[in-house]
Amino acid sequence: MASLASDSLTAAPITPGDSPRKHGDTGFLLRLAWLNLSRHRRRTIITTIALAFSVAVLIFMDSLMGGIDKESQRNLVWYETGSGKVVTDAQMEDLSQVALKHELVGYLPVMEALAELGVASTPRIRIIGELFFGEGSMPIRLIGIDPVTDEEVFRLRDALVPGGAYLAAGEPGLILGAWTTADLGLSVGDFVEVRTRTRYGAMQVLELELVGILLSPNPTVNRGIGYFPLDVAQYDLEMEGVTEVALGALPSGLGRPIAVPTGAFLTREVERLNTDLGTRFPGVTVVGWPRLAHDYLALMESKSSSNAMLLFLIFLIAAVGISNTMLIAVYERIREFGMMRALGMEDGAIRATMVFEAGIIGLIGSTAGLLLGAAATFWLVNWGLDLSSIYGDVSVGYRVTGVYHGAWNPGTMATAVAFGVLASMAIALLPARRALRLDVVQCLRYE
Amino acid sequence: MISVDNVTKVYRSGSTEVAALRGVSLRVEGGAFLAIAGPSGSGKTTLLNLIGCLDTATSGDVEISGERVSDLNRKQLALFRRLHLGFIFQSFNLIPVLSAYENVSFALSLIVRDPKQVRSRTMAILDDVGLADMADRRPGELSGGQQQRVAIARALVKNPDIVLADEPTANVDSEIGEGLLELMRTLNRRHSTTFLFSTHDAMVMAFADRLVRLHDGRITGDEMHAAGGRSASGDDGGAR
Repeated sequence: MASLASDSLTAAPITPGDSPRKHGDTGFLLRLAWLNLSRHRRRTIITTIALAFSVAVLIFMDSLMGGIDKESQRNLVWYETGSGKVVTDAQMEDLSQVALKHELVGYLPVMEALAELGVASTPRIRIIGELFFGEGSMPIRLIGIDPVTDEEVFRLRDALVPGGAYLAAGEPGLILGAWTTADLGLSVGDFVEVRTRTRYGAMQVLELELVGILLSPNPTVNRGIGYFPLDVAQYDLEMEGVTEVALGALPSGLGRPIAVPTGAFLTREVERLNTDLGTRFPGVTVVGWPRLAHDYLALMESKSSSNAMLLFLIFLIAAVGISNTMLIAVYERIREFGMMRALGMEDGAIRATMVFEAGIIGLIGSTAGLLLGAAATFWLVNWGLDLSSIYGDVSVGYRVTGVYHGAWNPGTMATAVAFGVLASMAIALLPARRALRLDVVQCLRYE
Repeated sequence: MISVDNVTKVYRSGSTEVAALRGVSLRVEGGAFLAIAGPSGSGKTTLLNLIGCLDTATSGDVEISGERVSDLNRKQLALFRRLHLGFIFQSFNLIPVLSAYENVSFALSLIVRDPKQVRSRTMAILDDVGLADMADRRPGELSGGQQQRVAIARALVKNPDIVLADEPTANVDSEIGEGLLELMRTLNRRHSTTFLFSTHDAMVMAFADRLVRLHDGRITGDEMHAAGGRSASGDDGGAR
């Protein structure tokens, strides 16, 4: 039996701390929480994996959406809108409608003024017509471009498929997107007719030779848009001016112009240009590219909402897993809690143990999810997700084709980890509260 | 000193009321080694719970070391238990993931901040119960008797005024149970700690210096024993 050799208990009286501890030793509670997780390793591992998967999916999806958004914005600006446009005030009433009668006649001085401000620009005429080919026809948007200055703002030439040619001033050529030519069975050298109306509403038929085919990263360019020389457009459409002057990169004041300006910088620059041009050219307005791409922005907004819902559901599944794990952990230890409370441990300390336990699951799961998500993002950024076999030449609204690349977003990564940890800890509060509602005697009797 | 004065405890379940204690009065002097005996449902665990500040009486007063515990709220009761009371449970209630050392030191660390003091006192009490060389073992690696000795060490490590033991030998065989009782009585003598047991085990009753019998929530007997090795002095008071 016991040796009873020591007499140290009577020899060394207890000297409590300055005040009795409310919650015991935090280090001990953390260690206890950690050890408690080893009681049911398999359950803990499954819960942790579920959380890791959720965090990884969140990071992956955010990277993918961020990458798509970034690439879409770039392709919008480089192939569709430029940084912005100068239009007449009358045109501003409805930017989505082409109105030749609201032409900007004095566009050359505007372009000179923009050049003085360090902004490249190019004039354009946008019309809608009916393209006739062989035995059929289809509606088409035609854009008259200045083959020389257009290259300073847009990157159409870079998207030319080998074997074709770029537009030349004065020659009635046409370049079309590769998806359109594939749909219509057209090839370089074919002639097409485009039926449209002139500035004064008269019917006009343009006879144009397909000189080049575009295959760009922007699906809108690849289907449904044709480009022909500006001077041909002005002559055939009885116009002196243009419908818009598109803007290139905006000067940042830091040496290098911003090719895809966004946010506060874009707002400030558009305001600056409006102030400057407004006094010199009454009746014209500068608009930034987001106002010209409302269809895309609306799509991104709705996609963000549906993605947020999807991610919420994924997190909900993880939360249910953690909640279930903690619920079982609490109920199988109610007697133990009774013992701890009998010894004088306060409810807060017991609650803290449960919260620490869930927090450790949250930390490990979130960290594992972060690593997994970061690895997936690395792959997505460098190699991308090739969805061409799924989407083919179908545009789903994004201004991206083929390979979808990701983007790093440290903010989302940090938020995902913090949310994983904090949400896990919060989830533990409910079962802990339920257990602590029992009195000590009930806890000690709990079967 | 413990003073239980005309205490009643009624449990309610829906419209049904069950009186577990009916006007119980009891005085226990410090250093007592007292057993509360009675059949199942006699109210012995309820009485122990009231003295242990784990439960509150429906009526009557419980006073421990001059403190009217009936008047304390939940937090104050927790503090009182932490500073003055030790518990030994029938099913040991050790934390399975902690070593014997940690199971004992945890109770002490609730009131002592100095890690050196925690370590020295924990090792000393483990030595007292004969488990110093098994301090690193987890409960699953110890026998039932050894586990109960860890529980005894946990109850005594903070040098409490009173140790309450609810059928402490119920889950061990009689030989080990006897050893545990001897150990507790030795510690009782050495530290003048008051020990209160609930039991229906004849061996435990025989070991006690004083035996209080309960039946249907009432005290039906209060005997002093000399056979337990401690002379009944009469100082321990009696049922009033």
